[in-house]
Amino acid sequence: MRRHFEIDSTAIDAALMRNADGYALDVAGERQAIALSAAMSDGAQTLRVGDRHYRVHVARDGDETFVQIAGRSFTVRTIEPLTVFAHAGSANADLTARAPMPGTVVSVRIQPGAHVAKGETLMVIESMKLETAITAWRDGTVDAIHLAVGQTFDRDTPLVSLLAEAAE
Amino acid sequence: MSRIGTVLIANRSEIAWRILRTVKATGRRAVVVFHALDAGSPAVRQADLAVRIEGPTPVAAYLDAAQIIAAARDAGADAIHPGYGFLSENAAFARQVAEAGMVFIGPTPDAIDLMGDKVRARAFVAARGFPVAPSAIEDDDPASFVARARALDLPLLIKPAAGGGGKGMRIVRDMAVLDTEIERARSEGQRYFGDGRLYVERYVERPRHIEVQVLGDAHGSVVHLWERECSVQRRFQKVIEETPSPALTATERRDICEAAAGIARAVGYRNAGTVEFIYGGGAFYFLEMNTRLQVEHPVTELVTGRDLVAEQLRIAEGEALGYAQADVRQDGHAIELRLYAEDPARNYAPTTGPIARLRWPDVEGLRVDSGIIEGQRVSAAFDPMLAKVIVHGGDRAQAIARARQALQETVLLGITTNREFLERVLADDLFATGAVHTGFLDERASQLALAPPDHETLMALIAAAALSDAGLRAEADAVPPLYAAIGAWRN
Repeated sequence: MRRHFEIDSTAIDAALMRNADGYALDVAGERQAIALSAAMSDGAQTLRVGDRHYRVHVARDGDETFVQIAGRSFTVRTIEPLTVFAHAGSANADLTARAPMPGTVVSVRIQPGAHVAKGETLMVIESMKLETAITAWRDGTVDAIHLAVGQTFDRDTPLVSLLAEAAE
Repeated sequence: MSRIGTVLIANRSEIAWRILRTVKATGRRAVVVFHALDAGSPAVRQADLAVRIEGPTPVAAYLDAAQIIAAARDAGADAIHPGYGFLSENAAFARQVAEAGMVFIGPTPDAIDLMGDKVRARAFVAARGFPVAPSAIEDDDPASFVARARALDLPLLIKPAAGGGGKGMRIVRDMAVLDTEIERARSEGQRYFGDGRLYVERYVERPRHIEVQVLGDAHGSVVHLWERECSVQRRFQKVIEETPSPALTATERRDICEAAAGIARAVGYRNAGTVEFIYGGGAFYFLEMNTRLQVEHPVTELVTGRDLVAEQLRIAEGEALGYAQADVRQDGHAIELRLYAEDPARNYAPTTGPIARLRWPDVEGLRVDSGIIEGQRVSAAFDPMLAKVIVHGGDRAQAIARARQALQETVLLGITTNREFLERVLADDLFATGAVHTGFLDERASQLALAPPDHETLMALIAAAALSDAGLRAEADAVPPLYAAIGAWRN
């Protein structure tokens, strides 16, 4: 149950695990028991991470979690493995799906030039021993397949590009 | 003049709400105008009547004098309170309100006109013997301009006559470069404002911005309500204001406050106003007069115990002040913090986003003038000021301690604000000594920058994000513990 978490400019991959007592958080092999209490009357919650107890306020809006801790507030963006990564501000903003985490290409289901419908599987990757389908994030035409079956890649590597909508 | 029963508030956000509170507390009916973007704001929710106004842009709606006057007439308003900004220093609007048979809660249009023209205001004040920075104005006599500038003491500041916002301004510390700097300033003035005329004035190094609150009634009586220190600024905008000023000696305080009251008397000033000064090296110079209620007026209210909006309403009804200068006491110390939707780490760039959670704390001496409510979205359509956190303490140290507590305990989630930055400023050693000037924030930028979160905090943030994510929890719940353990092994 791995996710990619972004806090300001820091990006961290972490996994949430269920065990008999509750939940644990795994970050690069460092595993700690974690728990979040129900909200108290003032809205605050108690967050437990290992031996530390924090008084926090937590609110969510889509993939963003807002957390106030020790007088400071932060925004944590959670990115699911299937999410398409786009370069913010780039003219090609929604053209390319990027790897959400390091992994290996398991299969490629389409060819350049193919017309695809939103939701159609373009490529299957394997990361953390889990297969993940990279699906079309909109209707369009495949411009490029950046990797072949068996190739490994790092996080944020381009996987599949669609043609710009204006070009179609 | 007769009693004002209904007041239309021609403003928005925290100041509309603040005026509304006094209007209602004094037994009057409050009408507000609002653009659709402000439909959920505290003022609109609490008004007796709220009238929607429109414009080509949201800001334009609040600048549309005809539309606002029509709304006031339809609502049966006796008076219009302009707040600050927007139409508050617009003499034509003040005249139109009067022509429409209503009371403009502010000074006379003539006083607005005089003080609105910075060169005229400066000449008016200087001619009556009040201190202005020694200067040479090109328009007075172009032929002798450079010679008159050369006769002033260094350092000098060259400003475009048509200027503003710091553009085209040049500081001269060596007379040898005066001629070339004048030529550069002229060409910049020409480029920015289409007007190459200049003036040169004595530049105050590390200046403080100190201003004085005044009140004048329709019967010629004027009092001051002491000074406010507003030197903590970014991009020429105030961030923290306090009273009394930590810089002034008792004699200086008396002199600057009496000068402000004298200027207001010379103008025949009616209603609430603020006389701004530049202070440095033991001297103060008149800068300008703001003919309206000021953003930072609450610190004055906290130390004097006087409600300035209530005073404005009484004065507008023609009542006499009813008290003398000796009756205006100053009790303790007050600090105001402007909470902005901005990111101090990115050169104070404005931010937008939801107000996902908002809880004002319960702190001794705290007053919050807020323009936001939980659940709304902050857009880039208006000024980024969200609210003002104002505290009162027995002395400056207590006021600072309470202000820090108030900032730390305020819960504001969903949008990046300067809340943490303000707390850092209050905790700064130099701020604690009171040694601030208008360049303070720039000079202390590296000391005031927030450290990135440490490892433990990052882990806690991820834990909070993961555990509050119902989808992620469901996925974790669906995996048998043994499988999860194996998955991690082979990681």
